[in-house]
Amino acid sequence: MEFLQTPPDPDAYIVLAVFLFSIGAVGFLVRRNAIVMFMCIELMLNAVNLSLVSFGRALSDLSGQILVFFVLVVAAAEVMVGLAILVAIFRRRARASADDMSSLKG
Amino acid sequence: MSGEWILYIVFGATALVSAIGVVFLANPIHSALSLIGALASVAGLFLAQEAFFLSVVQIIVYTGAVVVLFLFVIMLLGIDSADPREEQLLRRQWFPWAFLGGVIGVGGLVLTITGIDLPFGVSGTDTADAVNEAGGNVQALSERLFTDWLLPFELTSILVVAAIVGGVVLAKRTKDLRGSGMGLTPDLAERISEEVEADAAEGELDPEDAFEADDVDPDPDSDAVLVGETSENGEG
Repeated sequence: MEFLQTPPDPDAYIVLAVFLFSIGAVGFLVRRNAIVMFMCIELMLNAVNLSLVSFGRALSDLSGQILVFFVLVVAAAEVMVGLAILVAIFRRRARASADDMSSLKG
Repeated sequence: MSGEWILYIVFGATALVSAIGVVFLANPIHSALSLIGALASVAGLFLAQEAFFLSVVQIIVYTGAVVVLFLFVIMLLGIDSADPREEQLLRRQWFPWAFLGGVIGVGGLVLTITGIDLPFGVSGTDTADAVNEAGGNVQALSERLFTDWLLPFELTSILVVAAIVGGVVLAKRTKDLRGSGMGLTPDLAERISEEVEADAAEGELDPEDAFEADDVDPDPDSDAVLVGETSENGEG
């Protein structure tokens, strides 16, 4: 366990971020509940944030952290609009399953 | 053992377990609570990488605002119980293995495409010493944000205003929206209740019937719900 003596290098964080991203991606494909699908999108965004911070630290550049800041803003706006759309759909369909949202007309 | 490894292992393991919980828990409320664990662990991983500002913002914005919004909508809409069709899928014996295979497949694909052999020898100007000299993570970050990134920062305000207006318009129910398909007008409410009653009469809302291939009404001009269930029977 010699590698534990030195701090983890960026690769360790990147691998973790990749697996967090894949859990989010597979969850997005598997689940049908629209709200849980949104949560999986959040997971994917977070995985990318994590990799951005790791890259920024590995390259000694704070721009990575600033990009994460912008991703946070966009994610918050996206969740707000997405959930508003969901509320509007739910009023008409009374179910939150993505399978029921097959027609644009409503 | 270096301290950062401890943080990495503890928060990394919590993040992965909570992320799996988000996918595997059938009840959306449990998923949302599990999401808090995953997001808070990512905040811990930011902390391990000395991104102190982002770590705090992550907790305030995500667990403080986003997950609360999720929980609020779940409880507002009353979908705080699991969808029987979905629960049946999650209980299948092969499901965890299929999920594991999917995660490893997607993860391996991403790792192969990107490759881990990145030019990490390149070094920017924001080394740990330079950040300390600027007064710390928050000071250094704000200096960059309000000089080099000022225009994008101002543009986000437009985005946020647009999101607020969009959210209000979408979620509002008034007579102004009659015809736009967004508001719940009295005639629409009547139509929905009629549809729901008709569905109930046909036994469509009965979870027991959802997976019975024989029971599907072959009537082509019935509504979209039926079409969805027909295709589902095909795959099951």
